[in-house]
Amino acid sequence: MSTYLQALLGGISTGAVYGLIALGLSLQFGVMKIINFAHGSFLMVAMYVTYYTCISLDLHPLLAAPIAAVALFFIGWACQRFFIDGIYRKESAREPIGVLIFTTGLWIFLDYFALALLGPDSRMIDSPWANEVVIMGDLIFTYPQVAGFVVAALVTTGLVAFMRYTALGRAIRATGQDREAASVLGIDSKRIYQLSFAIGLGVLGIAGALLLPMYPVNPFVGDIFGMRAFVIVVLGGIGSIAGAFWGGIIVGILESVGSQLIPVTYAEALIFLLFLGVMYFRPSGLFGVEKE
Amino acid sequence: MTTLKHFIARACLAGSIAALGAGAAHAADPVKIGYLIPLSGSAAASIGRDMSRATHLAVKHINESGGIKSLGGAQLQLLESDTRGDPKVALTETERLITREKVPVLLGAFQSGTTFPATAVAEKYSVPWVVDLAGKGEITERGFKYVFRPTQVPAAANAEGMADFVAYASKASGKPAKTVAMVYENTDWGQDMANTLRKKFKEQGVEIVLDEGYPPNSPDLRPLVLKIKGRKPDVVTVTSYSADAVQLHKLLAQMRVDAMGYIGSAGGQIDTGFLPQVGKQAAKGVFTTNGWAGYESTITTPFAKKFWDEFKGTYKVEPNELSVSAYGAVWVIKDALERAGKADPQAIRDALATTSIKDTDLTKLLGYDIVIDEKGQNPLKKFVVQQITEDGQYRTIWPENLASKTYKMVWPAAQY
Repeated sequence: MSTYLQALLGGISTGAVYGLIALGLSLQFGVMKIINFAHGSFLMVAMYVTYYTCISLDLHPLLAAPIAAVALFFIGWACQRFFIDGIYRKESAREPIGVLIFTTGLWIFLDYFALALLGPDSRMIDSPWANEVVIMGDLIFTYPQVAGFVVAALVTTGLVAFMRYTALGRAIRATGQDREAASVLGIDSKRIYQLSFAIGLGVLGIAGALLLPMYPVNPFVGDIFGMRAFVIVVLGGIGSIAGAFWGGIIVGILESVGSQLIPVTYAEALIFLLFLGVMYFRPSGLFGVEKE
Repeated sequence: MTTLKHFIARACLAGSIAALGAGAAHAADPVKIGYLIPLSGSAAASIGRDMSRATHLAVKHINESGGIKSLGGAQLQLLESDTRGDPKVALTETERLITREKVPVLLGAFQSGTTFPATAVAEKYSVPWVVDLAGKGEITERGFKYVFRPTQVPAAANAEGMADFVAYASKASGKPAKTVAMVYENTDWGQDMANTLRKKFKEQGVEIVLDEGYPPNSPDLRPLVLKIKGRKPDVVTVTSYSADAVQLHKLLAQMRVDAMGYIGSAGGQIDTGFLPQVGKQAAKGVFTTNGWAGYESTITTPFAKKFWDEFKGTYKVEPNELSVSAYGAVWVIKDALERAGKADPQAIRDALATTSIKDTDLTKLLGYDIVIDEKGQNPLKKFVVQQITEDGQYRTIWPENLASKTYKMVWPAAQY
């Protein structure tokens, strides 16, 4: 019994980090209607930033999280300002396919640039903190697991509140709902796009810092988590921030508890089965709002 | 005037002699070796890079020592090609190396998943292929005439080593292991290993309480480790590479699985990145098979010392089984070229088929002789078992004749 309880709680904590990874992707899609295929690669960048910050400043992985967040925020802002914006503007009359192709190129470029620059080795922080555990009866949780859940939940709550209760958050949502109408009301969509792309990556920076004590970083780590993030975004409802969080938790639980009941390889397939089921029966996602 | 004419005539003569000389040099054209190895695309790229370094070092050493003497001192030229760990890429690159670059011999490609299909292309074109490290049994079981595996034995021998060691440790310590949990990556290699382990453990009467493959490069292996813990095994066998092995061994320690022994299968556990990432605390006491007995037992000749020093000096990491095997495989090609006397696929193939290298500098470095049998396999390579010490050293503990004189096996391994 305790195995299943452990699996359930473990799944929730891992899932919360998955959700946090997917959060930025969902935000970007919700506002700009673009699919950012380089999302996984940006996670890889976030993990490297965390790694080198921790190593060079001899910093605690959690303290590196704000630094990674700020770094990724500016990377996101610059990326939108100097690259994506131009392409996006040219395609304002049609579906932004060019952006999709651009981010695919960026994904491959970033992965191989990291490979050339940093080499193929996996790297991980060997901090004593990462190996500490909380033991409650039969249940064991590592510190990074607990921190992952707590921080992911806080950041999500904070972002939901920001979107709901601040003027800027409302402007972002308005632009996502109807860009034309929003600009009539004096909202500068260009600025909103830069901001939402940057916020998306800033959150990803925190996710990268939470992930690094649990998973080693290498130039291709983004491929592993990027795919999962897409599944979660669709599952939770495209554009829904809370939905991404819950979607992450569902995937985490499915993976963790499912693995106890059936072979691990099938548990992986189970996630995609759910994904296909949701796509078919509820294309707007589990927590998405049906439009029109 | 005459002197000038004379001069011109002499100059012409000198020119033609020089041309003749060039013609002679032409006879010693470099010998191209097509080399396939994963250098990007997956976590296996870090191993691919380590092996590639050793391969390049071997080519350098051979060229510096005068190249292929029977070919007038011909130099070796490595045409390296990145498979990205992708069978499709391996297939097209093999085809390209053979048909476009006209290489007379191929080498590679570390992973079974790429080597197995790509060697079939070489066989089709009748170009010999020297397998460096791929362990899938069937590679030399297809009746192929052009595929040779001098520095690796099928995965079965590796798995047999693991199971035999469990029997040995049970007996030697008087604390027998009664149950085992087998976890392995769901790939050619992992399943091959698992098939043999399953059979051997059944024969030994060790009960298999968990028999589970997992998809490689999984984002989270915690559920798998939890499953292992639930079955309370005496022994856990871990057949994984790089990032997965790091995750698994860290989690086995963190989640207090408390088995008597964790036994790796010469995969991620002997990767140079394993110790720094897992940390000494969690790696302490971990067992792993190894296709190479390590510094103490094998670096005994100037030949071996040169390899060790230069590899370590250049790349700041110590050679391991993977790099030693890659290094050795090139010397096997060199040996075949010397005997073939020409850089022709058929001649090289015939020379490789009759390879018999016994008690030389090379075999002392590798720790085993090389005699190619009728299947193209060198059956003489044996696996040893090592344990990671408290201060992060790999010490050979089995078989007894190769065991370290200074280190005594800890069984059951210390609890965390």
